Amino acid sequence: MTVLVAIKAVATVDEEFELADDGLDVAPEFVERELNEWDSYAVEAALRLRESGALDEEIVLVTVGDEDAEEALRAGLAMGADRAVRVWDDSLPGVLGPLAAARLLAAVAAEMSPSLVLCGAQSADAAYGATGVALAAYLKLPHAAVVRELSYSADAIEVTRELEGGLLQRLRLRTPAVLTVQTGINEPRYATLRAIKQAEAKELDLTDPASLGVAIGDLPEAVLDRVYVPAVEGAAEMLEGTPDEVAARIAEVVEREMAA
Amino acid sequence: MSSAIAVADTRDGELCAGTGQALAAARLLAGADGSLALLIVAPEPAGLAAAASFEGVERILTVEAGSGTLPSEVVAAAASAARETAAAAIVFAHGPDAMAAAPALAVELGAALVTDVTAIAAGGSGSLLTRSLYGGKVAADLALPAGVPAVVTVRSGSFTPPGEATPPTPEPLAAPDPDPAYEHLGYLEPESGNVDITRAELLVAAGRGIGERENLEQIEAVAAAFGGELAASRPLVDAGWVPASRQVGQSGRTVEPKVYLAFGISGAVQHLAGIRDAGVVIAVNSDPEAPIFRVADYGAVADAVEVAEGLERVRGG
Ligand SMILES: Cc1cc2nc3c(=O)[nH]c(=O)nc-3n(C[C@H](O)[C@H](O)[C@H](O)COP(=O)(O)OP(=O)(O)OC[C@H]3O[C@@H](n4cnc5c(N)ncnc54)[C@H](O)[C@@H]3O)c2cc1C
Repeated sequence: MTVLVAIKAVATVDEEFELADDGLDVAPEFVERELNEWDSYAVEAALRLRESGALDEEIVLVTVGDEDAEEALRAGLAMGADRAVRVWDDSLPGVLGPLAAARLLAAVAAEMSPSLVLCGAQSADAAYGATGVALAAYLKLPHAAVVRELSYSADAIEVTRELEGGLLQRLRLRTPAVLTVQTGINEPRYATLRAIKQAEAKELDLTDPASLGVAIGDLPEAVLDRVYVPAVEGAAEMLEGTPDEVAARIAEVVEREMAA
Repeated sequence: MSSAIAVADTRDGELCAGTGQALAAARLLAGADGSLALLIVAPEPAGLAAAASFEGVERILTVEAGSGTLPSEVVAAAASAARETAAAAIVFAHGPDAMAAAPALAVELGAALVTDVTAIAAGGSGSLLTRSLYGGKVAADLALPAGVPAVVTVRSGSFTPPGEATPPTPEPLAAPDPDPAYEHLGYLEPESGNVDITRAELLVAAGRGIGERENLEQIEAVAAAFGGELAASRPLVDAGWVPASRQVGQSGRTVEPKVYLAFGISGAVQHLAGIRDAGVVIAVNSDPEAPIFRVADYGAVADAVEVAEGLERVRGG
């Protein structure tokens, strides 16, 4: 059996950037890719479940993404996952909607019948906060979102979900289940140089929507019209100068406002 | 004519602020002459229905849920309400409850899904929904596909709730069969900690941009020098550098200091949710495009630690 961890190579945008000519994304030369922060906690959670003896299963990573997503998969393999699957074909749009990503991930999951699926609670770039729960719905599996504690046994999993303002909800779910993991659930490990080397040799399979029997065009995805830099309302007054000059100005404002 | 449903945002037998905001967005999606319903899924929905005095709500649908409302109950109730009213849009307030229910509802209904929406404009061939990308550095407009309903979640504070009106008589709907896959075990209240940052008049807040853990001392020194309290963004709490009682934001505390001085905080929406009622916001960040500058009153593009050292000198010297 398998523990499947769905990850994303998220885009981080440089301090200075321009939009792409088609107006549908940031131009690629201003974008770096990395393993989504939330997903690194999900990978760590899978590794810890295995290390604690709660689960003795193969840990497989899956992502939907182009070639540039492989580094993020390798990062997860270097943490200790066993193998990885990447779904792509060049007809997929660069910015994938949440239903399309979930539908493709669900198709990969369906082939493995995992005992547990972990995802990050959201991606740092598109931040739909939706992929994991949509994936669960496609698989018709129980799910819990924004999980920051979990304990696993073969027939049930107990989780603590985070709500707002520090309030938590404890739930028991039947397994197999899909969880979306919140930061702080653990402390993701750093891969050693040796583990990074070893990860190069781990199996990384490529598949595509057609092989999975998924036609993305059939999904009721919203259509991206344009992206733009939002107008700033009531922009901040910028304080210029050396750090000491800036500090003096800040001190003035703080003292004035605190006296008011 | 089109119809839309807003799913009430509730906690502990009360309607939360997200309810009116979801209604406002649902009204925009239904159109001025479309019909608008409010769906309340909660343990004792009648009391909530009586308090739901929002203008323009034609129907209030109620579903009695278990003591700990499960996302699965919300999904089942919203799906049957959406089918019954032939809703073109079902709107939630974005947050952990909506994150657990909205995507599953969209899949169940074969609907489009757009989350964390900040604006809705009527376009020629339908509505355009705006949301943020890349932590708020850019915005994206999306068009809804024709012929299918849409499940939409809306960002807190982005839509102005409708005015007041006497609520219509609530219509109770059958409670969905309990799903044996889920069991609610209980709620846990936040630990109070030894400090209450919600009462502080000056908060000096550190984010991931301060760099090394040892730099936290420099931020604490600024707080001490100006008689403020230390606060932090979530990553510093996750890393165990700062106790959870000092975390500002959606999953932390909502604060209302006279002055909020933020060092190395990018201004993620969940962080900003906690400082909406702050008086003056001052942000120090090395990235001129950091989203926090969009909400700050004063900003400085500078190194957090260098400015913090300068502040200690100004005050100490
Ligand atoms: C359900 C949910 C709930 C959440 N709840 C909360 C919450 O309650 N509170 C919260 O804070 N977050 C919360 N988050 C997390 C949130 O999305 C962000 O990840 C987080 O706020 C980022 O913290 P940050 O600004 O410190 O870090 P980052 O986003 O990493 O920003 C660091 C900033 O520091 C700047 N910087 C870097 N170097 C320097 C330097 N030398 N000098 C000055 N600036 C520098 C960078 O330009 C950047 O803007 C939540 C997320 C989810 C999904």
